[in-house]
Order: sequence, then structure tokens, then C-alpha cells
Amino acid sequence: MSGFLAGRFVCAMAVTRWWWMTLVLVAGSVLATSAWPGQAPERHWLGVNGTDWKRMGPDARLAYVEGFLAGAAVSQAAAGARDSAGVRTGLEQLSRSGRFRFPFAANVYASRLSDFYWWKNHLPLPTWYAFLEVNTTLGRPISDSVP
Amino acid sequence: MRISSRWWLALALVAVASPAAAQGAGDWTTYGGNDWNQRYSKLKVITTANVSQLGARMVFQTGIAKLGSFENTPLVVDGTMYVTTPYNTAMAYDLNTHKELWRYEHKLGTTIYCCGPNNRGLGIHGGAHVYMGTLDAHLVALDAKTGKVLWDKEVADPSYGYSITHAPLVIGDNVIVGVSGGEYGIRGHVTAYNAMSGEQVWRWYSIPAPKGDATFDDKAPNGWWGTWAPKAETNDLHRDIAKEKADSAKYADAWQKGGGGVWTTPAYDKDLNTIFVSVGNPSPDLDGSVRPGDNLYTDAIVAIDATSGKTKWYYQTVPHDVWDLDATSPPVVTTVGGKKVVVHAGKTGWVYVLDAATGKLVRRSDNFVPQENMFALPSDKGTRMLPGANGGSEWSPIAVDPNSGYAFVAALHQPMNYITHNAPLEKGKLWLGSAFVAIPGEEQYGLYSAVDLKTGKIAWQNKVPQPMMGGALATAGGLTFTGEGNGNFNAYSSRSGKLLWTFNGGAGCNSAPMTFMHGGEQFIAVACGGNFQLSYPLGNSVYVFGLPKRTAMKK
Repeated sequence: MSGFLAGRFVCAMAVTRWWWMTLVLVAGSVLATSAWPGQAPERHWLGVNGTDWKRMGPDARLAYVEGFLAGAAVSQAAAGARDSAGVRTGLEQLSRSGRFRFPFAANVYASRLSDFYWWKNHLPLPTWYAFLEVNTTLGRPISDSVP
Repeated sequence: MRISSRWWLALALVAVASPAAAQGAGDWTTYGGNDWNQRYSKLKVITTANVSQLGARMVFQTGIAKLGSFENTPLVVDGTMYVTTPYNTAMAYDLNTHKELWRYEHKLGTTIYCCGPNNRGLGIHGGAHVYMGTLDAHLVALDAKTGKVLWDKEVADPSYGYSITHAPLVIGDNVIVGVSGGEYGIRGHVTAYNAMSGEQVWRWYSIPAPKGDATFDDKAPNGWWGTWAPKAETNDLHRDIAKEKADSAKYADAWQKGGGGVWTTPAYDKDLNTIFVSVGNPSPDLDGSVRPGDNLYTDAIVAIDATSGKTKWYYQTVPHDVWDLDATSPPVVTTVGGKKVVVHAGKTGWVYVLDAATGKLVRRSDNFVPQENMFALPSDKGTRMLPGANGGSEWSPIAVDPNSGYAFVAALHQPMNYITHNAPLEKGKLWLGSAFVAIPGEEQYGLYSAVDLKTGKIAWQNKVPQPMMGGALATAGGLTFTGEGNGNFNAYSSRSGKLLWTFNGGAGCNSAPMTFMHGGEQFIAVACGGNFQLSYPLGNSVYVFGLPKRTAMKK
């Protein structure tokens, strides 16, 4: 499932190098099949929500988050790139400067998403939305001289 | 016997370099006032008889526009005051001229922290170097005279949820620092660095690994699963231990992200060569189903060998915590009835007195805040929970008067419902906060208590209008000082608890105060800059109180 997510993000950014998307999809699928056997929710990734999240084991949750983060990072890098080399350069620059839109590691998001879905009435909320909510609460790079 | 002049010189140099000696001269050289973290000063120029004359003699405003929880306890060494701000600017002030000597602004990278930006202070080595932990999990060494960076080490990767908020502890040539991040699936640790070079000396993990792992800890032979304790002393924890055991294989790797931040300054005892740390909550905070076992060493006081970094003993206050009632207030070493003990004020609302050599419980005090439904599980309708999720005693350091044997505890009374559903989604709020809902119509307040460590009884208790977060100071002048969220900074008789003096700082005085001698006068200092988490008014002032000049001179 994490492959779906990564792939869709790349599609959304209209990257012209299709082989790159294929690579992400394949990598994501391998990740998903190895870490999430028999637990894949039946619904489309856009509809994956807290009910699915609660069914996943810890490894599957981490795999899902890794897939989401990879997809988001690639799409962010691809937005300013002209070709695959540009995507790679963009990824490296974003990583070095700490400017990923989702800047934290998978354990952080997995932990916060678990808290997010602790409550029953949040279960219908889609996971992509939960990601955005959690990311908003996690803060940004700041310093005393930048009010 | 005649001592040669060389010996006198050597003794003088030792006296200058030794923090303990400096403190004897009236300086405040470590976060907790001394290695034992007692926050007790032998200074007694300011007494119960003259405290009513106290006034603000100096005010240092950091000038920092970006405010947060101003939790700093300043250090004072040789006429210089060192202060840190919530976003990791360190600064030095000349107490003679009242001028700023230098400031160092740490350029923060990725930062993540659960409960508002804050920093509690610095460590100092031989009067020459100061050390600050940062929100992006760095440890920075600065020249104490100039503020120039000597070295800067990343203690842990901040993108994984690590940060540092506490004041480092300096022992000999080692700087000791823990990490925050128990809300983000970290594996907590405490690390010793060489003060001069910044090289790592040892690292102790707060989550013990299972057998076979390189970081296996023989004091926890069953790893973080522990002994499957059904109770916290006499209190039932309502655990389904059979289910936990059945789930163990499924969650076999949970220890790798088990939490256990060490985010308040440890205590140190030289004779035992031991560091004592408070370990925070397991991760995830509330969902215990995914982390079977006692979740050692979370919610524990742990003794660590200062040379090797190996565990000596542990005492877990709440095995398998699902209430966030962890161990956060800094441990304190003192003697009670001739026995050396470690004292900790828990979020649970009890003060724990432990044998410093063995970790055995000597006594658990009477509750210093109201308790109800202790360790009850959450329910659909909400389980009334006292103390609330903030405690008890939060991170606020206690002060211990070794003469009276009283521990002074600043605490919170916040009745909460612990519910399993229907928490509203509040955009931009820390999700964890929704777990506990304040009970409408129920009063919240603070309690400032003297707990008699010899008996465990509450010697006296004062109620203040708001839940307390900040900390305590006690002096040989028969006084104890603490602040409130409404800006009041108070002095009480340490014997009776009678309020003797108060001053309003204009912003919450939510930090632990300190005292020092300068120019033959005793001063009391406190940072009044509020608290982000409790929404107390923010500010950027450090107040320094003293007696009127004439009175002070007479002394």
C-alpha cells in the first residue's frame, strides 16, 4: 500500500520521467508486500483511515509511513526538477537543508499517528489528513531572531 | 606543621576551580545548586526577619522577541550571571555593571518538542566553559568569558524526535546530558562527554535491550519487559498481564522506540560515584497495548555508575504506565536519619524516599495533592483522574532543607477525565492533550507543600490559585521561595509555611529560583517568563532581589 501512496504523489506532480515513478512504485510495492502481508486494506489509498491503521502491526505502520514520506519527498523534489537528475539533486538539497515538507523520521509520525487514532471518532479520518494534522503540530525550525 | 607557599598556591587553585568551593563562597554553580540537586543554600543574610524588605535590585531582560516557557535557573560564578532562553540563546551578564557581556544564539536546525520551547539552563566546568543542550539535540560548549563556541556535538538526530531541554550536569571532566522525546518513539539515553574535547565517554540507554543486543543491561535480565509487576507498591495497576505476555512476540521490537526521555538534570553523589536520573514516560504515552511489559526503565529513578555508565539499580514508580504519570522532577540526594537517600516527587502525587546505595524504598510520603481513582483505566464516559496528567509534581525541581528534613514541592491539582472516545479534533493542538479533559466546573489550583522526609507526613501546605510549575528554593535563612503562573513570586517560612513576602513579576514566575552572594550581599534570582503549556503570561525578565542597600551593608 505504501507503493500506491508514493506513486500517486509522484503522478500528482506531473513528472515526465515515467521510469522514476515506476521505480518508486516497484520499491513501494516490495516494501508493502514484505512488511504488510495479509493486512492490506481493501480500500483505495485515499480512503485509508484510522480503522485500517489500527489493524496494522507496528512494522506495517512503519512501512506505511516510510512509503508516505518517500512519496512526499520525491514529489516535493520533483516539483522543481526538469529531469531525474534534478529530482535526485533536489532530494539531496532538501535533505541537507532540512526543508522536507514532512521533515521528521518515520518513528515520529508513526508514534503521533497512533496517538491521533487513539480515539474512536477519529477513525474515519483519512490517513493523509492525519499526516497533515500531525505534521502541523510538530513545529518548524525556528530561532530567537526569527519571530 | 608548616605548609609551603607552593601548597598554599595549589590549594587556592583547587578552591577556584572547584564548583563546590565556589558555591561555598556564595556562587550558584549548577542547576540544582549542588551536585545533590538540593536547591538549598547555606546563605542566611536574608532571613524570616528581614525578607519583607526584599526588593528588585536588578532586572535582566533578554530582549528575545520569540517567547516560550522561560524555565531557566541562572548560574552565578565570580560576578557573572549566565542565562538561557527558551530557544537556546545563552547570555552572560556582569553583576557589577549590569551589562551584557556576550550572547550566543544557537542556530536551530530541525526541532521537535512536545510541550513548548524551553531550556532550563547551563552546566559549567571549572569556571571556564559553559554547556547548553539545545532543542535540536545538540550539546554546545562555550567559552565562559567570551561565549565563543568550543565544540558542538549532535547528541542524537533531532528528526527522530530527540531534543534537549535540561541543564547539563558537570562531574569532574565529564558533561552529562539526557534527551527529551518520549512522545515521539525515541529510545532515551544519557551520555557523558569529555568537557574539553567533546568526545563521548559512555552512553547509558534508558530502555534496556533484550539479551543478545549489544546494549543488553544485566540489571534488567528480561529487557524492558521487566518482572510483570501487577502493582505499584500497594496500588493495583489493572494490567491484563496474560494478554500482555501473549502479545509480547507481536511487539517484540517495541523497546527500540520505547521512549524514556531523561529531560531533567540528574543528581550526583561523589562517595557512591553514582548519578541518579529520573526517566520519563514510555512511548506511545497512552496506548499500552502495543508495548507489553513493565517498560523498564520508564517512570523510574535509576542509579548509574559515573565512571562506566552502567546501571547500578532502579526503582520504577509506575510499571507499564498508561496515565503519563512518569518520573520527571529531578532526583535529590540527602540524608535522613543518617542514611543517604534519593528523593523524588512524582507526578503520582507521592514523594519517594529511596536508599541511595540500593534503591530500596525507604518510604512513600502521604499524597501531597488529592488522589482519586489512582491507576484506573480510561472509559467511554471518562474516568475521573486525580492527579491529572500533569501530576502531582511535573518537572518542577523540589528543594530539600537537610536540617529540617523537609522537601518543598510545587504541585498541580487539575482534575481530569480520562476518556476513550469523543475527544474533539482541535487543529494545531498537541493530540496527546485530548486524552485528558479538564472536568468542567471543577476548580484547578496549585499546592506548595513541605513534606517531612523523616515521617512522610505533610508538614504544611499552601494553596495558590493556579496549578504550579516552576520549582523551589530553600535557604538557611529559614525561607523557601517559589513562583506562580499569575506572576507572584513568594517567600514562605520554611518551618511554618507562612507567606512572608510576595512580588509580582508581570509574567508567570515558572522557573526554579536560586540565590547567591555578590559584593557582600545575598540575592535571590528568578526567571519570570511564563509557561507555554499552561498558558501563563510569557515574558523575558530575570529578577534579582536583595535587601535595601543600607540594610544589606549593615550585615
